[in-house]
Amino acid sequence: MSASAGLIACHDCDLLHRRVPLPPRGTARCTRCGSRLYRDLRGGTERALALSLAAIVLLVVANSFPFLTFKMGGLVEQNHLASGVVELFDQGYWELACLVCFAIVIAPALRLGLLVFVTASLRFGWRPPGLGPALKLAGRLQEWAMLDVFLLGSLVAIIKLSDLAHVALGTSMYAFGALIVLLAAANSAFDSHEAWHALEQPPC
Amino acid sequence: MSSDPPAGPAGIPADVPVAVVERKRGFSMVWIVPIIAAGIGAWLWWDALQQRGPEITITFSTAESLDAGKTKIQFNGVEVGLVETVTLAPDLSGVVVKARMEHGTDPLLHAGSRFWVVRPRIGLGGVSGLGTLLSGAYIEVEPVPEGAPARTFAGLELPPETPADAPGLKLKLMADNLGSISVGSPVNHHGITVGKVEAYHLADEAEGVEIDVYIDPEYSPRVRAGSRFWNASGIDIAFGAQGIKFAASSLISLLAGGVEFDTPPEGTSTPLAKSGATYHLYADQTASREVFSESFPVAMYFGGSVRGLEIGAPVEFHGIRLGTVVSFALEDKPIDEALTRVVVAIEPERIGRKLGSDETAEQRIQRLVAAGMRARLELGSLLTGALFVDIVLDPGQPATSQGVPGEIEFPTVESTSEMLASLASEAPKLMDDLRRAIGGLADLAVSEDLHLVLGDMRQVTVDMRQALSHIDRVFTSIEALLASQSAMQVRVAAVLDETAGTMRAVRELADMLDRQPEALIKGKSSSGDH
Amino acid sequence: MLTAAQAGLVSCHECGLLSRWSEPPRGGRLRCPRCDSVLHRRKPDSLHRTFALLAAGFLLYIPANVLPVMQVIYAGRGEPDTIMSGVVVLFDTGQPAVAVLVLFASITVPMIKLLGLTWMALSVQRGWRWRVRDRTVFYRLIEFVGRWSMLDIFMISILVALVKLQALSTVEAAPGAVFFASVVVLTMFAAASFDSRIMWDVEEASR
Repeated sequence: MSASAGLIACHDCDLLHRRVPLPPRGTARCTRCGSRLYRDLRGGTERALALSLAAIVLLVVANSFPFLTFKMGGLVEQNHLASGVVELFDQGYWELACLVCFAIVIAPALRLGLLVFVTASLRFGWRPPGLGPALKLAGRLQEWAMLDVFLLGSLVAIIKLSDLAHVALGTSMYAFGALIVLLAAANSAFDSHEAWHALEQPPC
Repeated sequence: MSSDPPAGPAGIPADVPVAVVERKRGFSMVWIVPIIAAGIGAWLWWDALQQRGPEITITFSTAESLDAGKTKIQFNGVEVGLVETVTLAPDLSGVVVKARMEHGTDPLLHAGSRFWVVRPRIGLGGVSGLGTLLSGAYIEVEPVPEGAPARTFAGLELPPETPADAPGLKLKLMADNLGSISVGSPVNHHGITVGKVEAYHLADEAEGVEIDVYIDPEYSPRVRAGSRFWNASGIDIAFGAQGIKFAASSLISLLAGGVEFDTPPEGTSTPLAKSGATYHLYADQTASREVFSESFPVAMYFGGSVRGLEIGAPVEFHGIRLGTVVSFALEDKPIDEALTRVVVAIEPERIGRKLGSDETAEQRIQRLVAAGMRARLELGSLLTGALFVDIVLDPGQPATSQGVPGEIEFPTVESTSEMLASLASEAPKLMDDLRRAIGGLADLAVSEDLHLVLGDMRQVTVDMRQALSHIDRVFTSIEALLASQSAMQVRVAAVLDETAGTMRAVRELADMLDRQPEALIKGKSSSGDH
Repeated sequence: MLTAAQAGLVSCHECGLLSRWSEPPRGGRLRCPRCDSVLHRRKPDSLHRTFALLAAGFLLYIPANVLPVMQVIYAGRGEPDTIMSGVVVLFDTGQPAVAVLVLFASITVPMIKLLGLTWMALSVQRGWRWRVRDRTVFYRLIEFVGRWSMLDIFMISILVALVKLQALSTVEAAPGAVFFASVVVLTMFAAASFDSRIMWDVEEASR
């Protein structure tokens, strides 16, 4: 089984294409179905690493400080990012609790950690064992890290609640907003195909 | 000038140097982002740490109504801390509460500072909105101004009393009953809260409750030796000879109990109260007013029923209250001469009269009796059937008096109710007579003089009808007589109903006999039903 | 133009490397030389799995929308909310924009996913060739937008955590939420199990 270098098959329609160098920040697309084949990311690895690290810091901040505060009739309820998980569990909906916990705590944290691991290795030329599986897992987790959906969901919740009473945004909320932006930036700076390609090259 | 070699896709001239690929070293600008993020994060952490006040530990015997993460610690209504954890003490002797105080609360945390749990209640400051009702218990702190800084405290189970050297007034109130007074209930004066109840316990010597109150220093001069305190808790509903009385104090007193005091006119010249003084706590405002220094007992003997009479019932003359029934008991006499001895206290102060020095109480009563004053039991309230003692001018009526030496006595006469009661008791006798008459008729029916009897029957029924209508008229006039005494009327009406029922039955019998005289022998024929 | 399959190559779905395809021995599997993932020419059992997951999704879609997903207990009165009633409430309280958003994310998107994937799977089964490129774009869209249906679930998780004012007001999740979450997850799996390339195989085969 020999690998055919310089060729790539479209992920969506299986058409074979020849790999060509791209202009800076260019994207190669499938001629038949328009799917993205690969991208040129100058310094993407480094950016992805920096942004992932920043995202991890923000993730810790977002989970440590109060997220939202709800005041009604003298009663105050403050919660953290993951309070919903605990509450759902308490109410007996452990399935929902596990799902939400995975989507907003486990998957994002794990993916960020793996990304840092992979991008740091690539950037600094390390080749620790487990790099490949790490990259694979990070890719699988991307779909399941739903912090951006959570942000939108919390906005809808805030709007619904602000009808009833006063809702105050906590420090965590701002950190969270910034986190989403950073996550998006980190994701766009990182291209897994390139990463795999880079992994193949010997470290330099 | 040399000509430039042609550029373009044809080929790269050989002498064009190959560009040196420079590998970018160093870090790109993007690293600013995580650095900033880390910086902000660190700053937030540090700031939060700075904002944190000290953590303290308080031990209580029970953690009831304390919620980890929710229960606040307050000082003068300001939130100064929050309970973080509530755990059992290692030796199970109590609970350990760890709380995080606010920044800058060190001045509150001295070794002598006291903490206690204020369990849900309406605050002394008033009902301040539904939120406080639901906000649950909180821990109140009373700091001492100086002392060694401390972080561990033993919590009090009850709020502390004001220190003995506090400038206000500390008084003791003796009450028969605690009622709805509790620790912290307000003490009001003319509706303004001037102090609070601090503690209460069963009285040592007497049967009753001893209540400790504290009056704020600025109001202390308002309390005099002659002031009177009464229980202003809840709603006062009194059923008595005067009907129903309804009184309620402030909303707080309604719900949390309270004490009120004022100084009656005769007490304004008494000296100011001193700390430690004892007062009686009257059951309500009326009781506090009805304290008379002068009263003398008068005995009355009633022959009829005293059902509905209660201790505390009023003694009235022309509707003005003169005194109070103090006690009554059955006299030691043979049953058919049953007499109830009622003792009343005449309180001349009620009508603003004091006994002069010129005559004694006994002389005055004798004077009134000689003038024709008699005592009578009357129905006071329609609703409750309570009786009261009415003093009336009725010299003509035969009066009951015992003339026991050594006691002042008022002769008594029969009440209008009593007359009616005796009348009402006559009615059953009438019934029995009628029944016997009918029974006699029935006997007659089975004798051999039947035909004669049948002939006489018509006459008898006519007579019976006349008798019935006569009785009807009698009762109608009684009814009219009783028009103003509706309760009696109810009782008479009941008797009347029974009478009327019997009358109806007898009347029907008479009708039937009129139509079918032979029914006495043969029984009713089927066509002759009513 | 040649597809990888036609060229006897297989593309690794993890790392994109093209390798030469050869039939693996009985019980064995081919592995990618670069990333060691199992190589499949097409996603295994794509149609079967997709149909099965879609069927389950359709089944659970009914209780997801009929049963209440959350209950707001306000001053003692409980008011169960289905997804739809939540949207209606948002409309009623003068927030049409948010209402449309929730409507889109919670009702429209799952429906589109379910119907769209069904249509695509059917298109393969029936051998349709019509507009295969559009279908592929549609498939990409479905893959992208699927996770946004979780909006409602996250909103519920925040509400239950925040509105915990004991006697005054509490929010509780209700069984419908579990069904709804299942539908979202199932459609995500269904989209992942569907291999869009088989649509193109049909296209290729017909040439």
